[in-house]
Amino acid sequence: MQLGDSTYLQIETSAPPDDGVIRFPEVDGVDYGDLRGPSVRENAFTDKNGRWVRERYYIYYVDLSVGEAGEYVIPPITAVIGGREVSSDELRLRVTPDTEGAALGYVDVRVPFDRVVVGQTFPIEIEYGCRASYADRIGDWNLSLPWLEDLGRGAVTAERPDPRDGAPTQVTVGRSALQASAPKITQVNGEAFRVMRLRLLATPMRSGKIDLSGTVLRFVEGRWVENLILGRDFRPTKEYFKRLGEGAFTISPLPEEDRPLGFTGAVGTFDASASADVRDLFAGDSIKLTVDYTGAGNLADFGAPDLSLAPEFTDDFAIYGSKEDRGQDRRRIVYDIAPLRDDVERIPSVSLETFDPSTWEYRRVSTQPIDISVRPRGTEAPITVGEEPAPTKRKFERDIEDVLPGGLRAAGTDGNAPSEGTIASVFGAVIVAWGALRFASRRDGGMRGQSGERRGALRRLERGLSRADTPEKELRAWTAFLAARTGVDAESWVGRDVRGDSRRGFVDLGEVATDLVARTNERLEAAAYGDGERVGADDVLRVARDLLEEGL
Amino acid sequence: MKFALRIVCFVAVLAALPIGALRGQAGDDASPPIVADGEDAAVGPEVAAPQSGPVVDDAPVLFASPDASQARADELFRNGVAAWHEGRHARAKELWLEALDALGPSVEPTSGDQLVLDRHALLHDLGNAAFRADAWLEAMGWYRSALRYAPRDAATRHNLELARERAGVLPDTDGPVASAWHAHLTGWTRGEARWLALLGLGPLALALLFEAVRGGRALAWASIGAFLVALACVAPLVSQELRADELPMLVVSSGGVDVRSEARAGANVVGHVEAGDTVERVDALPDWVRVVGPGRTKGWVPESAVFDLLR
Repeated sequence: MQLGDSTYLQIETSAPPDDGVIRFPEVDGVDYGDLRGPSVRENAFTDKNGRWVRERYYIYYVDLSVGEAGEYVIPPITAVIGGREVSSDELRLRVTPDTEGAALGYVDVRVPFDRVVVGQTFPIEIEYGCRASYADRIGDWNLSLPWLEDLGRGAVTAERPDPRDGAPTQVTVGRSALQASAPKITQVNGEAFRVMRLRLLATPMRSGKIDLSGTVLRFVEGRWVENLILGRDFRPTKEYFKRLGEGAFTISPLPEEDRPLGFTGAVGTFDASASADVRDLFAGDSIKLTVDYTGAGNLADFGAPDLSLAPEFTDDFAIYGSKEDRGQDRRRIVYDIAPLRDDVERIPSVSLETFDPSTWEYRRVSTQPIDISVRPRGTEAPITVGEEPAPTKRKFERDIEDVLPGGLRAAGTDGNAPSEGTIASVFGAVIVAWGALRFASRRDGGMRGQSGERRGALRRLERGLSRADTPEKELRAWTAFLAARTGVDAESWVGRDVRGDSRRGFVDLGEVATDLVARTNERLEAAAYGDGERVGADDVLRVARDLLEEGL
Repeated sequence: MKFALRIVCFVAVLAALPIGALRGQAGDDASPPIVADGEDAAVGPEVAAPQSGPVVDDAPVLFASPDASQARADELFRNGVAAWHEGRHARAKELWLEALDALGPSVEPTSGDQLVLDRHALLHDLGNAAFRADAWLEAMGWYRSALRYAPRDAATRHNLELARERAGVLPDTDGPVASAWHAHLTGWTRGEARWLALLGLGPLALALLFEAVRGGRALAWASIGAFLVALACVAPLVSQELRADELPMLVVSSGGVDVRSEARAGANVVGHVEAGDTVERVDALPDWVRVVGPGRTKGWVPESAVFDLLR
């Protein structure tokens, strides 16, 4: 493999190690990553005796990287399986330097301080790129920064590049795709390089020397192909590796000397300010004391000052608690306090013990005290809420609508309105016309006969049903009723497709009446000629009444 | 064919009967002739223009000319408005009261073209005059009188509510349904109530037509529904007819007024009506009015303590 590239070891075992440990021999210049796995693979086959055999393998992986070019011999890897120590074969690894990548690539790591302290937030700038003449052929950038682990897990965040400097580019660090700055042409040793910058913010959790020499830039040469489906597609042809070379910086522990008792981990150069939402209040009323910290440092990480431990507060104020808003640019802490007495005249300053890396000494950052006016309970003095008086809302008077201009006007609808006599006449005309029309319609008989005929037909149906001792006689009474109301022969209603005839226009009973007749016909016929249940006289009469209501 | 013939007959009967009634009404009306536009168009009688105020429009009048009393009232009214805008509120009130006297009792117009003074505006403005004089109860009386001629006028209703507030009179606290029904009954002028009643008969006629021709339960229910709608439409007119003989008065004496058994100051007090209550006048003597109060309290109250709402 080429120097800067990474590979991994694959270890297969027949069973998991008894103690769960696979022992890797130490080799100078070889770094092992975390052990991953196992994944299980099964092979099933029939042996020569015809038996079905199933084999199971446990596969582990471990990343491998080397710091220098050369020949490496990795002695057997051992593990204890089934009470027996098993070992692998010896491995040989040859690492060659990528001289071409070293000439074409460029990588540099810059830390603006010679030494930093644990908890200090500082930027790390990584510039990378390749020769400008090659830049168009490079399609993939990858940075290997093994020293990030030494800063502490989660101690590093990437800053987004300023979009005003151009469209951001992308670089892969580990498994994360990060945004870097737009490329710029830089002269390095007389050669033009196209260089991008990745800016990280680190807040180291532990002290020690950070060796940057493991930094490797991997960039891939290839060509861009226009693809109908995928669009512009990068086809890699060759990988290059560029190592940083020597480089290191030191993270110092916080000095023990002069460390104040109330130090809560604030490292940086901070400014503090405080404000109160109420300055004129009654004793016991709540004050929201807002303390803002700004500046360069670990604003999001340090512990907020605990007012309940400050006697200047606890003597005069009740401390109810606090809320925090943690940001990269500002840390805001809102304390809920209440003056205990009416002789309290000010909110004391809030102090934060910090360590200033620029002067390498501890420093106390304090807010300004805030004057307040506390009134005893029971007085009716006005209370001013907020630091600034609230804008007064203008009040408007309610008043009457002004006089109306009035004047002469046409009487309009009032003058043209119909008289009561006209309205009564129209009402009477409606009733008379309705009665006359109704009388005329009912007198014609036929499909809609007079009410007397209806009642007669219903009575005859009642009589017929009361005398019927068989389903056939009930059916006969029913068809006689239909014949009386429709004028269609009774026999023709037996076995008739009423719905079909209605659709074809042979019967005009209306939708509801058609359905009632059809269903009753079916039930009575099923009872008379089939094995259907006998239909009760009450049911038939109810249907008949419904039909009469429907105008039959 | 038969069906169409029946409908024609129905419509003919509908049309024939009211026409007779309309003819009778027209004969009784004896409306003044309508004057056509043009050279012969009559211009209202000359009235003295106010020294200040709105310019009298001397354009040809498209309608019948107002009678002398209406013209005189209009002149006084306009002068009152001009005085009001000059800040002479007392003078404005005097002029408006004179205009009201000139108009005389309210008479229904006999045609849509008849020119009449906007009595609602006059009464509204008198209410404003009373309001500006801090006579809140009297202002309530004027506004309520004005609302009889324009029941849905938002400005007058607003002023009435304000006057009620200032006078400390609680508004009526009917339930929502009762309030809505009361608003329906009283929310129409007499002419509007008549038109509404006539319109309400339209759906009824239509529903009955189909019921008679087609029959069936659904149309029967539709007819019943149309009948109820017609009743609701007729209700305001019926309500107004029933209350036509009432003579409502508003108690405008602050603190209310004692109701006495006889029309003299020392008579026994048989009841008390609160300020802002409405009473009905049943009799009158000089300086005394016999009223029936809200709790059927009947007796005499000083005339100055009540305000006649029929103006």
